This record gives sequence, C-alpha cells and structure tokens, in this order.
Amino acid sequence: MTHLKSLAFPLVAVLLVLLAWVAPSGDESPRPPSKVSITQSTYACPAGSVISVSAGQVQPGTSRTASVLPGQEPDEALSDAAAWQSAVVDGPGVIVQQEGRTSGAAGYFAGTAPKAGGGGLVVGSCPGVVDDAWLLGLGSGDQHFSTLILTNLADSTAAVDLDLWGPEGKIDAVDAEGVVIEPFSVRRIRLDSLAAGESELAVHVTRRRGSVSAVANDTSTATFRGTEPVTANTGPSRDQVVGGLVKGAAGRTLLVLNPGTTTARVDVEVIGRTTTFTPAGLEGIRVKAGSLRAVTVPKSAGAGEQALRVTSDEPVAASVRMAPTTQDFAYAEANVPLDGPTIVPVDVGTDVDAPRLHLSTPKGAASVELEAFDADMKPLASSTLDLEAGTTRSVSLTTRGAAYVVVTPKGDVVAAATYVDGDGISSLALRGAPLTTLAPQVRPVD
Amino acid sequence: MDETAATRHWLDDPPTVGAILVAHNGARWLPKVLSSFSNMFHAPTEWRVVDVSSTDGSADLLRDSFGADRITYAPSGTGFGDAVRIGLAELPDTDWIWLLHDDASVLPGTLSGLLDTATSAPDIAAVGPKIREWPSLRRLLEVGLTVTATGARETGLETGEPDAGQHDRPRDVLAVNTAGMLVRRDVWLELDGLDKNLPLFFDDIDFGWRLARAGYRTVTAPTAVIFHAESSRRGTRAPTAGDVPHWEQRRAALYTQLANTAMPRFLWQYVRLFFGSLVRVGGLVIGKDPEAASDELLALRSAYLHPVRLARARRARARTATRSHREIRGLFAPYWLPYQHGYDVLRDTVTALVKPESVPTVGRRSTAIDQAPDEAVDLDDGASLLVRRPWFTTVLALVLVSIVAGRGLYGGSFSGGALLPAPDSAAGWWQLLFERSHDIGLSSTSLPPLFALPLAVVSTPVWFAPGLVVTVLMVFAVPLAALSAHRLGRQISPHRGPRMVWAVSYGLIVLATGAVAEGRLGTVVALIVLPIVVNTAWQLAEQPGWQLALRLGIWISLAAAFAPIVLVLGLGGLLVLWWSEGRWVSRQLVVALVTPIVLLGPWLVQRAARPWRMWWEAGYPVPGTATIQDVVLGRAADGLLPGWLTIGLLVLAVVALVPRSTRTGVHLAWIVALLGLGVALLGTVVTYSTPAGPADIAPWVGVPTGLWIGGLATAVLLAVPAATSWPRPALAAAVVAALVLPVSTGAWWLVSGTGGPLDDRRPEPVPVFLAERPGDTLVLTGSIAGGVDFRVVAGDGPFLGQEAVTPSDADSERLTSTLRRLLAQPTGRDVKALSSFGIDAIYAPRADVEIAQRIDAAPFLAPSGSDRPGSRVWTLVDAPRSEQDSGPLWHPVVTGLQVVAWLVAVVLTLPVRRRDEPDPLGTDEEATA
Repeated sequence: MTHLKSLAFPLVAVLLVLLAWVAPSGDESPRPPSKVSITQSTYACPAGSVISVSAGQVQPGTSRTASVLPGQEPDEALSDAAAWQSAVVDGPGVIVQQEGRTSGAAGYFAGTAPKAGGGGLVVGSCPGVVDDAWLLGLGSGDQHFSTLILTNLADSTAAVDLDLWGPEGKIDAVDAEGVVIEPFSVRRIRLDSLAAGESELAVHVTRRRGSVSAVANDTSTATFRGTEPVTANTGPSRDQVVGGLVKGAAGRTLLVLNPGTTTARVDVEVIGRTTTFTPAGLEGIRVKAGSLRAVTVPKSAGAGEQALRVTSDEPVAASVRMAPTTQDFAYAEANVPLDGPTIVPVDVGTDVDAPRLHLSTPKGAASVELEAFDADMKPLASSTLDLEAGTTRSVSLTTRGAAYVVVTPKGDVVAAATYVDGDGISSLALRGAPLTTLAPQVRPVD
Repeated sequence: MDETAATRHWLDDPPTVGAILVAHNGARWLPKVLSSFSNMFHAPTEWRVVDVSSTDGSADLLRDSFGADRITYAPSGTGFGDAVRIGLAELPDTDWIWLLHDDASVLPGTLSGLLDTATSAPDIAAVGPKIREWPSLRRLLEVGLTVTATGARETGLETGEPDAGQHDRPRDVLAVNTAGMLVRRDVWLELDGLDKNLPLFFDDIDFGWRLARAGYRTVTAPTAVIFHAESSRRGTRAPTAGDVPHWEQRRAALYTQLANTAMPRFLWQYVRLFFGSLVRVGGLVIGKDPEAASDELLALRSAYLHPVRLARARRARARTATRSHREIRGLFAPYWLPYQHGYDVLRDTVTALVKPESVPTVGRRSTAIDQAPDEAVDLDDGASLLVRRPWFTTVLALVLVSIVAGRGLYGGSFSGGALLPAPDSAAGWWQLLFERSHDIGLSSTSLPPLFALPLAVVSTPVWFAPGLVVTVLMVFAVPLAALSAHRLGRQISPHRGPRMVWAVSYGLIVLATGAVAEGRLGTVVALIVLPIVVNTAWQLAEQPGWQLALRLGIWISLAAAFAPIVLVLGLGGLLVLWWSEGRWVSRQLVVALVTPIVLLGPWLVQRAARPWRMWWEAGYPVPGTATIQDVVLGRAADGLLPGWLTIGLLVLAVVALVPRSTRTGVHLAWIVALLGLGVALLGTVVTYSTPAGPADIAPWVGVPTGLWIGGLATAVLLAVPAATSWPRPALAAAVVAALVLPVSTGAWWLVSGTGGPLDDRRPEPVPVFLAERPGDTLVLTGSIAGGVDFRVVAGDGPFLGQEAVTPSDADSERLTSTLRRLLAQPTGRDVKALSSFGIDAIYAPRADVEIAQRIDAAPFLAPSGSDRPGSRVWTLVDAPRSEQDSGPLWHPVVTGLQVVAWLVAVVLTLPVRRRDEPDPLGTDEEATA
C-alpha cells in the first residue's frame, strides 16, 4: 500500500505534464492596425493662372487654411471649412490644411491647358503626403513630355528617390536619387532632364524623408494631343481595376509596368455595361521584367464606358490612356474599390459639362447612394443606384446647382469621374474621402 | 650576579618603592596574591594596605600577612584613587609608588622588571607590567593602554592573544593599568593622583593622559608580569553597598574624553560624543541590547549634566599640561579603530541573523560561534586541505570556477537579458525608494519596487559601486546557492559527502535554469534564499516559536521582493508544513504568512491585483521561452544545456521513493518538488501583462523550475541512508547518476563561461548624443502591421528597479494615443504634444521603413544623423516641456513605514542580549602554560 503511495508522486508529475500539454497556452495576441478618425488633413494642389483649385469635404470641418506657396500667404477664398470653394490661386501651388474630426477634406484642381502646351481639359485631385507614388503614362521625348510636381508640405526639407522605367527597361536616370524639396515649396522636374527621349515613361516616387506630395502634368503634341494630370496609381498588384474608360474605342492604350525581376503574364477582362468578358487580343500579354509596355486596346474590347480588370502572375501597375479624339487625351488609372464616401467635384471652377460617374463592380453586386450638395453643403438631391456584379454603370451628375456629389458605396465599387469640355476630356480616379486611416497598435514597453 | 649587576645598574643605589595594596572583598584571590608577594627578587621598601570595607574576610587575610599596623581601613564606596590617596598619606617617603590590586598576583621578578624600565630614562614617570590572565595563563590582557576618540578602551591585543614574547619590548604608551603600575611619587603628587571623579574605570587612562600632557612618559615593562582577575570589569567581585553602577564605565569614558581633550578639538568632541552616544543607543536598541542602551543613556546624562564638574576638571588639567595634544598624538588609537568596532558589531548581528542556529537560546549571544563539523579546524596539518576542510575547499573551488566562468563580465557595468544596470551610486536606489515622482521618462508616481530596499541597504557600504552587489550575486550565484543549500543539508542529512554533492548540485541547478545567463536577478536571489527558507521552516517544525516564524516570513518576503512568485510557492510550502506538522504550528504559520503581507505592503497589492503579474521578477519582463520539456528537465531557458543531463537525477528521485526507512522525508521532498513543477507548468500556459506596459508576456519559470529539480535532488539526498546498504554495483551506478548533473554542468560552465545575454558593458538604449540632450528620447520598435512598441528613455536609460516603476496611466494613455495618431497621419499638434511629455527626440533603433516614412511626414521634426546602422533619429524642433507630476506625500511615508517594518521585523528576530560583560576568568586548577 505504501509502495502505491510512493508511486503516486511520479504519477502526479506525469499528470501535471499531461495537463500542461493539453491546456491552451496563452500566445501573444496579434496586433493588426486599426482605423482611427482623421482630425487633420493636408493636401497640396498645383496652381497657376489657368487652374482653379476647389476645396470641399464630406462633413464640415472646424477650420481650413490655404497657404499659397512659396510664401505661405493665406488664401481666404479657400478658408471656409463648411463650404465648397473654388478659386484661382496665384502661385505655383497651394497647401490646404483642414481641421475637423472625420471631415473628409478633399481638394481638386481643374483648368484648360494653353494651346501651346497641347491644350486640353485638366481635372485632377490634390494629393496629400505620399509614401510612394506610381505614375504611368509619362514621357520625355517624341513630343510627349511630362513634368513631375513635388510639393513639400512641411517645414523640414524633404527628399525623394525617383525610379524610371521605359519600354526598354529600367532607366538609370541622372540625379534621380535624393531629390531635395525645400520646406513649403514646389519643385517641378521635367522628366527629360532626368531621362530624355523616352516616349513612354513610368515613374516611381519614393519619399525618403519629409512631407511630399507628388503629381505629374503630362502634355503631348504627338498622335495623341492634349494635357492631363497624372495622379498616383495604386501600386503594383496582381489584380486591379482600371475604371473610368470613356466612350470611344479609338485611342485606348493599356500601359503596364512590370517593376519586378520576372516576366509578367497579364490578362485583361472588360467590365462592361452588362457583363464582364475577355476581349480577344488581350490574353496573355507578356511584360518583360523591369519594363513598361504599351498595348493598344483592340476594338474587341468594345467602345462603351467600361473598366478593365487587369490580372497578372506578377505584380504590375496599369493605366489606360484614352484619346477618343485628336484634341485631348486622358488617363484612366488603376484604382481600389471605395472604402467610404467619396466626393465627385461638379463645380470645378471652370466651364465643363456635367461629369459622368463610372461605377464598376469587379467582385459582386453593390449599390451606391448619391447625394448632391450645393456650395454651402446643403443637400439638393439624392438617389440610390443598384449595381450588378461584374458591370460598369455610368451616370451623368446633372443636378442643378450642385457643387459636388457624395457617393457612398455599399459593396466593392471602383469609381471614376470623367469630364468633357468640347473636345477636351479628363478622367478622375475617385478614392474614399479621408475619414479614417489605419493606425498601428501602439503600446509602451518597460 | 655579574650579569644582573651589568643590566640592573639601579641595584647600585636601589630606589625606594612604596607598595600600596587596595583590597575590597578580594578574599577569593588574596591568598594567591599575598603568597606571590612573599618571594620577590626585589621587594618594595615599604608596604601599605588599604581595605575598603571588605566583608568577606579579606581584612583578616591582610592582617595576618602584613600586620595590623600596615593596614588602613577606608569607608564603603571609597574609590581606588581615594584609597591610594589614603594609603599614601601613611606611607613613608619613597621614590616610587607601586599600586597593587587584591585580584592581581605578581611573579618574583615583577618589581625588578618594572624598575629596570623605570630607571632607564629620567622622564619615565610611570611603568606598567605585562598583564596576563588570572591565575597564571599565557593569554595577554594588557600591555599598555590607549583610548579611541569615541571613548573605547584599547589594549591593541587580539581577543585571547597568547603571550609569545611578541610584546616584549618596552614602549611608550598612553597609560598603564593601575594594577601593578609603578609611578614616581613626585609626579603622582604633582598630578594629584587619580581623579576623584573616576572611582573605578578609566582612572588609569585619565592619569596616563595627564601624565603625558605634563611632559612625562608612561612605558610598558614587558619583563614584569602580573596576573589579573579583572574582578570589577568582569563582575565577579561580590557586590556591596557603594559599588559604582553599570553605566559608570561609559560615563567615565565620556568624562575622560571631555576632560582631557584640548581645545579646539574639545568642541568637536563635545558634539560628536553627544550625538555619537545617541546613535549608539539606537544601534544598541536595534541590536536588542536594552541594558547597554540604558547604560549609554544614563552615562550620557551624567556626563553632560555636570558641566561645572567638567570645567573644573579641564582647568585642573590645563594647570599641569606642558605638552600639546599634537605632541602626544602618537599615543592614541588610530582614527579608524571605532569603525572597525562598528563593523565587528554589525558582523556579529548579521551572523546571528544568518546563522540563527549558532544562537541556541535566547540569552547571551555567542561570540565564538560553534563550528560545524565540516568547518571545524583540524590543527593536524598533516593531511591536505581537502581532507581537513572538504566543504571549505569545495566552496573555494566553486568561487574560483565562478571567477573563471565570469570572465568578460568584470568590465564595470553589468546588465543584459532581463537585467538592467545598477545606478551610479547607492543613492539611486535610496532615491527610488523615497522620491515622490520618478524620473523614468514619463512621469511616474507609483510606489517603488520593494527589492530596491535590500539592494540599497547592501550597496550602501559600496556607495559608489552599487553594481558590485549585482555582479557578486550573479557571478557567484553558484557558490552562494551551494552555501545556503549546504547549511540546509547539515540539518537534513548526516552524510557529509552526499550532502556536499547535493549542495553543489543545487548551486549548479540555479545555473542550469538559465537564470544567470538570462540576467534573472530575481530568480538568482530567490533560489539562493530558498534553502534558507526551507531551513527556517525545518527549524520551525522542530521548535515552533514566533521568532522563527517571523524569520521564516522575513526570508519569504526577501525572496518574494525579488521574485513575487515565491509568495505562491511559499503559501504552498506553508500548507505542506501545516499538513505535515499539524495544528501545533498553525499560529506560527499565520505569523509566517502575515509577515510578507506586511513587509511587502502596498507593492504586493499592486502585483496581486493582477495575479499573473506575480510572475514579473526584478528586471525587465522579458518573456520566458521554456517549454514543458524544458521545465521537466530543469531548464527555464532553452538551448543552454543538454536536457539529458538531468535524466539521471529524475531516475534517482523515483528510485528514492522505494526504501521504506527514508520514505517520510522523501515524500515531503517530492511534495515540494511537485509544487514547483505544478507552478512551473502553469507558467508555460499563461501570460501576464505589466501595468501600462507590454502584454501577453510568457512568464519566466526559473524559480519553480529550480524548486522542482532542487526538491528531487533533496529527495535523493534524504534516501542516502537507505542506499548505503545497497549492493556495490547498484550503489556505484547511483553515484554515477548523481554526479552526472553537477560534473557535466560544472564542466560546461567552466568551458563556456557565465556569458549569455549578460554583458559587462552598460547598455545604450539611445545613442550617446541623444542621452546628453536635455529632453527624453522616445524609442520606437516594431512595425505598423505588427504593432509598435515605445519606451521613453530619460538620459542614458533606466537602472535596476526603475523598470518596475510604472508611468502614470493617464500619461501613458495620452502618449499612446498621440503616438498612434502620429504614426497614422502625423500632424503638428501631435508632434507638439510630444514636447509636453518632455520628449525632444525620436529614435528608431531598427527603423521599420513604414514607420520611418510616417514620422518623416510629420512637421516640426528634424531628421538627424544616427551613429548606428539601420536606425533613424528625429529631433523635435520645439524645446521639451517636462511637467513631472508630484506623487502624493504619503508615498515616501508609506515607504518609510515599510523600511521601519523591515527593521522592526529583523530586530524582533534577533536574540536579546544581556549586558556586555566578559566571562569571569579562570580557576586555580588551570595550569600555567
């Protein structure tokens, strides 16, 4: 009996080990980033005598300050955080800073380029600070020239690195690293000063330090003619949607950049008005590693308002140049589905027709709520659009007196707006207004 | 004869010597004393005896020996000086006076020896013999006297120092004992003899001091020997009415100092002795010697409440002084001697605390601690040290191996792993304990960690090198743990060899857990203390008593202060004790349980509020990495030592359960081991969080793992008596299995070194140029996707103890949200908010690209160069505005109360001392050496 009692001790030890073995252990919980409300938004708009800058928001903010560069003089015409305001700013750029929790401030610029530079309608969004920006459709030769516009939004010197790709591969550009932008200033860099003679260029801007926004101005007097702002594309990915293709099958060129080290095989589907289909001639496009390829979109893709879904076995960046006439061209840029309400500018401070809103549903059925507001942010009208899966629907935003329209999605919707003024066209990729942002989980350690 | 004539020139014209014998109830010694006078080579010219109211028959003895006409009777209460004065009045005129006590016998050549020296120079006015122990022993009592600045009588001899002729050269001294003093009569009269205010004590030193100031010399005559019973000092004389009180000795010391010290030093001494005496009173109370404390107070009162008497004495001395204090400075004890005495007292007290078994009963504290058999000094020096003192040799070897293994860790600073560096001085830890607001980057008003208290106390003697304490604990963890284990081993096993192997194994178990290499100071301290806890519990079980229970609680508290998980283990252990010993220790166990709660106080509440937080030991809460397998094999960190080294011990522990005769103890050891195993395994499945700090931390399970393996090793040790009867092959196999762990671990330790994350360089959490900036530095690690960790570093980083001080929740939360916004979408407002926390720089040691980009986008931040690859630094444009909160006033008060509570608890466990009186000296049966 006492022997059995002795035996109990090692048995208890074994039992304890078994218990510990089967007990769930407390692992460190993951700490993914989570959304936080944005209380202050800052963006920079290129400006000039022919450009009108518009500032608006989803919700009224508490204050708005527009500082005209380089002297940072305040522009009172853009200082009401509870109104949609447009003004021509006398300076190379303007920095707008808006306070207010989940105000969703956004800025746009629009204008008509002078004939000497190719003419054409220009409508673009004002970017905030970018970590990196992928800009496609640029050029530095063959009558196709682009200017990179870098704005330093802060009081400390900023620096960026530039990577350039052409059809023949990556370009070893001169002075492309450590490009310095002085505090509160705009630096315009003609791409032909970095790499001349390239009819097609893609640029990757990487912010090394400081606060920098990036946008490009693309002009051409070549087979496609006109002027168009190029804003940052979504970065390279294996699945992306290029939304906002205007009517007209002619002059559509798909631009695909493969910045990787392996040849990419790219397939294209058209998200059309009624369905999604694969056009003949756009299957298995091979894009060599580290190169930019321009592919003419065949007529098999159709001529309607549509979007392209670009899939690839390697991360690529894509964009579509649209030149339905010989007078102007525009870029439809790859975009992500809206993650919240977005603002479609209607009154852009210059005479344009009512914009057309293009809504594509690459994944499933969705709906959007449209609400038009006047310049004092009074709602004028609203409606709801149901969107079938795998289709693109386009509507004209014609509400009288509307200054802007807020589009609130339910489901995955890729949105773009196109603007027409005579022969001039411009496309604007729409992104969710900055209401929230992802913030890391932060904790103190001892 | 010729030879004597050659050396004793005074024989040509012998000086006259008048001997005065003062007697008072000395019948116990007088027969021997009187007989010693009868056969001197050179006898005094005249004799005079003064009997001070003896009632024990002394007067009869004296009358028989000297005749009634040579005896004078003095009234009761007559001091020695007055008695001599009375005797001298009736003594015929002589050149010298020889003072004799009734408890001091002489040798035939004593007087001639004195005269040899006395006549060797004209300025010698007093000569003293070499005084040895009564009745005729070799041990020296005095060869001249001096005094320290604190009034301590100094002989310059070691306790029990034998007379081997080492003091046989005459030398100038400040004073000689009046027993056997030969003094020139004219000088005696000039100085008016002994001071009437010093009836019994310090009269000799006072006289010698005055004599020296008057320009005369006092010299020892080592060829003259007397044997002194020191009956007054040792309290062996029958007390009578008129005897001086106990505190007279200290009063006489103070009086002598104050009366003789020359200006301006007198002013300093007057203040110093006053406050010094008060400090002594405090020390004596703490040392639980209330009688001595009372004596000190009474003596102080008596000495300082009679300024007129003191002034008169000083005037009298001024009249006879011809030499300055500077000229006789060499006759005094060195200045450091009082401090050595203080150290001796402290050592005795600590010994009584750490080795309580050396104090068998409440009573006089043992001054000569009985040595254990393993430590006994064997005077036969034929065998090697290993054979004579095996444990001492083993410990010595462990210390040497520790020194070798700790190579590369002696660079000055000591930190790494979970261990933080020590502060620049011990003041850092004291300040941490008592400051209301802690400067740890973010403001903090939380209570300090309790382990800072023992660290502060222990590091105070090495004020400017507090890191030494941590270094010693970590580098010598193995011998220290082995020593504490061996003390326990002596209680539980009579087998010397196995006991030593067990103790060494335990020391190496501490190492094998990985506690040292990982910088787990808490585990190291806890595992060193753990055998003492068990030892005390063992004694409590044998002799239940509240003092032992209190001591058990104190040891648990000490270990728990460094490693709070000890409280859980201690609670389990107390339950085991209660289960095994029954109700009759219940009260004691309650005392042992309540003591840590009181001593750890509010700090314990902070930890206990979140029970899993008990796993957080001293140092950074670095996550533990032990798996279940590691725990079973006694490892709290993976990859340190092969686990199979422990398998032999596991097998032996199971085998130890078999013998019936030793089963009770083995079962008990197994229960303790299972307690450790259970808690350690629990630690592998739970996590804990720190307040306003990291969360989901896997506990470090070093302490319970050490208890598990230590318990098994103890089970094996307890089964040794039964194993001695095993067949030789089985026994040999068991021995080999038992030796695998200590031998292999020891060899690995020696070869690979203590090392690990530990380093001897001070860590630099921020680059030096940031540490020197006026503001604090915000250190960021992690990534946007996986979460960002931050730490606000003040100066060059925190020291040990500051990591347990938590910043205020409000500040921490505010900074967290500010930083979150800054890393989400930076604004100028957020950057300016950083300044309000006193931050003026951001440092990302392993800069995540995304984090760096987001910070780069923030305004009012200037990118700055960093001297470390892969890191980024930003400095704030605005100057830091630190707004340190001030903690509530009750914080330092509570800490003070806790310090007092520790002090009281420690004092209560000390045995009470009786009046410090030396033992009476020998019996007549003791042989002459």
